[in-house]
Amino acid sequence: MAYTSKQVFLNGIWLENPVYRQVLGICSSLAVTNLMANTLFMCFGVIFTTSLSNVTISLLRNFIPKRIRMIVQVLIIASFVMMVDIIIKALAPDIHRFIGPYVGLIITNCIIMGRAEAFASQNKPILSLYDGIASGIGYSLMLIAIALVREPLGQGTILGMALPKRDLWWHSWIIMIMPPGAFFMLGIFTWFARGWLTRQEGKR
Amino acid sequence: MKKTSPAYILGFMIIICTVFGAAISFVHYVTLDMLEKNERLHKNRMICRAFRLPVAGVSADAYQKAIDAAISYQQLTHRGRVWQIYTRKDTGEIGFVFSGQGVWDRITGILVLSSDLSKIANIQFLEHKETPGLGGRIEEAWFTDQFQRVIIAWEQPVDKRIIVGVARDPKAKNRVDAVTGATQTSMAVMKFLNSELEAFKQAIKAWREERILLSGLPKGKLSREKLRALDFVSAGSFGQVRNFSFLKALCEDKDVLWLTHQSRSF
Repeated sequence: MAYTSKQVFLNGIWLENPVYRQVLGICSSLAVTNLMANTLFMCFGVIFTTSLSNVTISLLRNFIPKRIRMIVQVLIIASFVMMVDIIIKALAPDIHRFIGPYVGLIITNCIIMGRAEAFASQNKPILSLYDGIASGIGYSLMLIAIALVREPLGQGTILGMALPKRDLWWHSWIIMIMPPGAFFMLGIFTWFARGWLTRQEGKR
Repeated sequence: MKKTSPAYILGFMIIICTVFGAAISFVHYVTLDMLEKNERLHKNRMICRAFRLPVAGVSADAYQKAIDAAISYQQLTHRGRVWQIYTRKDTGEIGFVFSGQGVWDRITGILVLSSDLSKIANIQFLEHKETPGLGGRIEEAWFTDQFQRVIIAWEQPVDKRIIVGVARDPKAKNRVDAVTGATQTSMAVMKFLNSELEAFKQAIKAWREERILLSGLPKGKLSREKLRALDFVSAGSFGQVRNFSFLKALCEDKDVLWLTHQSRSF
């Protein structure tokens, strides 16, 4: 299995997009997409952690005993997340107050574990780094798309800024900021993306 | 050594745990001072915001200076609990650090009351771990600003003095709107604010009485009985004092008059 870096990026971002194609990282896509700001912070956190953990696991891939590889992966990922958490808390306490709860959630994001297991444990460090970044971006694009619908519909704001003259014409759909709204939006997005992708493949 | 042998697995695990554990400890150790400083700055900033103090600049020193100039701080122990109490020197507004159970974790903050404890001047949250976007919105200005016009209904039962959410009378002076989609957090806030208010009132009352007694009332002038009766009177429950001639005498007692004058603020 030899990948070129271009293939790796294309796969991560679009063809094998973690959210709608591999159905990974669903829990956090449901949880954080009700506010754009939260979504963006979560995306940065995930991109950072996937790339770092992918590189580390790839470097150690020939030393990790097969039987306990999952435990080792979780340990490495959790360590990175904790370090990120402490560093953000020390350097940018105000941002940490907003995203603190999500930083912890990154550990349980299945994309990171999934990429570590599926890619980094079998490929070279540089390619694994690319794969981590690409998967992170793929995840981010999907989340941003969902948040771009949920926040305006649910609260009449984008990134916390109110839509123009919102009070005159807008009534917030509360269901959009509640968990069911996330399920609807994720379902619809996955439906469209997959439909489009299968049609492309059919043409070929 | 074979990679599948227990000795290799054990050794590998020990090494990797040590390395990563040490790395985390190191990062934590290096940032310890910063974390502490951040925490103090955050608290000072929240105190300034709660008391609406003017602050010159945004540095940690500026906040500390503003607080030193305008706020006096006391620690007060009542029934085993240590209260952190801040008093604004010019207006007499009195604030305290409250804490209560939210949905996920403890919520702490500063509640500022008018000097006679009848109104809420402001509220600010210090720490909480509520769901961001839902319960986490309690710290947003639209929620906290509502409290600035609340008149505490001290005559109501302990759990109904402040109402967050639906009340029989939507225009009630002691009511604020709940956070949409975060009913549990809103109920939790209402519950602990009410119980904290009651506990604070008890503490501050005991403290003020003690201070008045200490500040020069001749010993033995007021009997225990009179003090007790006075306590009922100041709590508004005249019915508790059965002996009306005693009550009348009490009202004419010049030591009592002095005492009520001293404690008129509650």
